[in-house]
Amino acid sequence: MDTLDAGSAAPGRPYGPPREDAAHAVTALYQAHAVSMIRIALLMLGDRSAAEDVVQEAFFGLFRRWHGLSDPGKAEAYVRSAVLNGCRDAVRRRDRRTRRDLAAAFDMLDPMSAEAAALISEDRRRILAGLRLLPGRQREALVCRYYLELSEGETASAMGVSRGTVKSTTSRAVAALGRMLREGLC
Amino acid sequence: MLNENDDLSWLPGETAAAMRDLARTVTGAPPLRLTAEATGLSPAWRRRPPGRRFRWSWGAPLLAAVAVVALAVSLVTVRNLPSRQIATLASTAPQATAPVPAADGVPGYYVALHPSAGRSGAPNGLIVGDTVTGKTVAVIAPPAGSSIVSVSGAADDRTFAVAAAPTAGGPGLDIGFYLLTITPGSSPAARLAQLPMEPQPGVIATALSASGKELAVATANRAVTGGPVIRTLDIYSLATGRPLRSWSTTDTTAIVSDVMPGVQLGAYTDQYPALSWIDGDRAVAFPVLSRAALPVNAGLYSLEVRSVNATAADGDLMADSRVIANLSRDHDAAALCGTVFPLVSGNGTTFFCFRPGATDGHTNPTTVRWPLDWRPNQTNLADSAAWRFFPYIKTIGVPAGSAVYPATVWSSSTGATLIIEWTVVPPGSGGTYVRLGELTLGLNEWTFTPLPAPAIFATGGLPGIAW
Repeated sequence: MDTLDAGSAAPGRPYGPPREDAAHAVTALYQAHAVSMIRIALLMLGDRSAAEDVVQEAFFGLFRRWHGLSDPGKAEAYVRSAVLNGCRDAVRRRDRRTRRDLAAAFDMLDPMSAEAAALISEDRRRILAGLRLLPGRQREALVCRYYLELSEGETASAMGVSRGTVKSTTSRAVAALGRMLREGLC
Repeated sequence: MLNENDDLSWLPGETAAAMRDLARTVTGAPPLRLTAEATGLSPAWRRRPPGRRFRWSWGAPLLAAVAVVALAVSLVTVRNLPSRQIATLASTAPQATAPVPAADGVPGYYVALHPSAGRSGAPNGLIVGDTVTGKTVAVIAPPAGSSIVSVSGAADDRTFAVAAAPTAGGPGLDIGFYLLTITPGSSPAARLAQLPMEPQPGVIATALSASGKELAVATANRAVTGGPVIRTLDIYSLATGRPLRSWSTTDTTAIVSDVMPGVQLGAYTDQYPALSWIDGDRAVAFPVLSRAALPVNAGLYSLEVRSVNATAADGDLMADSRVIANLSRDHDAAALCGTVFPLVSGNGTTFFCFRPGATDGHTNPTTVRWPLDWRPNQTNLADSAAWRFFPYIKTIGVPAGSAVYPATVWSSSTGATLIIEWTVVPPGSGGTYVRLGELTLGLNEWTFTPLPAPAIFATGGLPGIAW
């Protein structure tokens, strides 16, 4: 995964506003990857609007830091990492808000649009409902492993944890999901 | 329906398929916005001198959104604590318009969830700390194979009920119950012992009585798959572990805990209890929240506090309980309490609301002044015409773009002393910090005294905690 130090410009490049070429490059990347990134964020957040916001922020971050990107070829990985980070922040904030704001709690109960609900079978909707009830890290592990089909090592890198943690987190997430389904909690 | 021993090998594949189904509903993306203004980000970066660390600065649109901050929620166990009082005593002069309760003090000790081994993500144990000095009194490891998910306290500031979930699994597991006893000066200073109660599934809230003899446990479970969720309030004897009373309902508005309905303890690490013992352990108060009866209008919800007689016979939770405060029919809920549950004092006559303040417009690129408006009511809950509020407004400075989460987290039984907290989450990752303080009611005004907020609270905001 590529990393960026937001405060450091590449050697020999004077710091300044992103240039026109950055706008073109990031726009092209957005056109190519925005939908897939919104999908990831939707799985993490369960909220289309919030997912779009996180993706916008991730691409805007890329735009602002374009000149610090050591390998533009890794821009997609960078954006994906930024999206996952953004989702983590959003989940953290939402969890706190939900815990304290019951309007948000009610909103959490009805996360799926009617259109989405019509397209997804009852059994799978239950799985998705269970997914939303999992702690954020467990949900992230399942998204990385089973939706993005990342390896344990890639997932560990994306989540910033060890491979062992990925393994145990994924295992616990599946067990928890199974238990929720078994007990009719979702 | 799945059975206990069913093979779950199909689940990862089906989970992946379900995720793909949901992902496929996204077929397009909105246009990319590459200007600071369009994304709500401040153009402050343009002014950043070379070589200085980049700093996010958020502009007005996001700030305005953040201004709709979440509010204080919990109905916490309320106690009258004789020891370690630090409150400034209120004036004894008579007060003409409303009785002024004598001030009492904050409890000597807090007990908070704390990741064992100091490692984020590790099973939660407990940390016992001194409320006044902030010093750690004891660190308690979690029971083997378990992670502690909630804690509630009795009135003596020495006795706490603890709930723990197995670590192998997640929400929905059977919750086990323990008793934490603090003995200052002894070694160890605190002991955790298993209570003789059967582990319970679907626990959403617990509250230890002021006497420390009974534990109220709220659960939400389905009797059969696909059937209605049955919410139950049980009262257990800690001495025998046996249930003493039980009320249940299929009304989905009852005992909506401080997290989303249906989510059990353990889903989050910083849950507060939704139950509160009142009237000298003779009743248990619980929140009822509904929006079905009201137009869909942001901020308008039907919010009630009900109480059930803890000495009465078993029965239907809604039929056998009475409304002790209706915060939406007689008042503008949005203006009064927003959509949050009020904290109710142990004497059952006082509740507290928090109202979000708007930023005062005094901003610079990095700091915002933010008034936090507590509105404790100091009269009879049941008589809304006589409600009398004693506002307390504290203005804080926070980094621009921060989310601010204020709460009243403890009240004395008279309601004359509160512990308040606010958690500030600056934009971007990291930097979250918590501030704690004591409010003591004088004649008509509150006195604020800062309390230490140990660094462990800063990792993700105030954890599950009890005093």
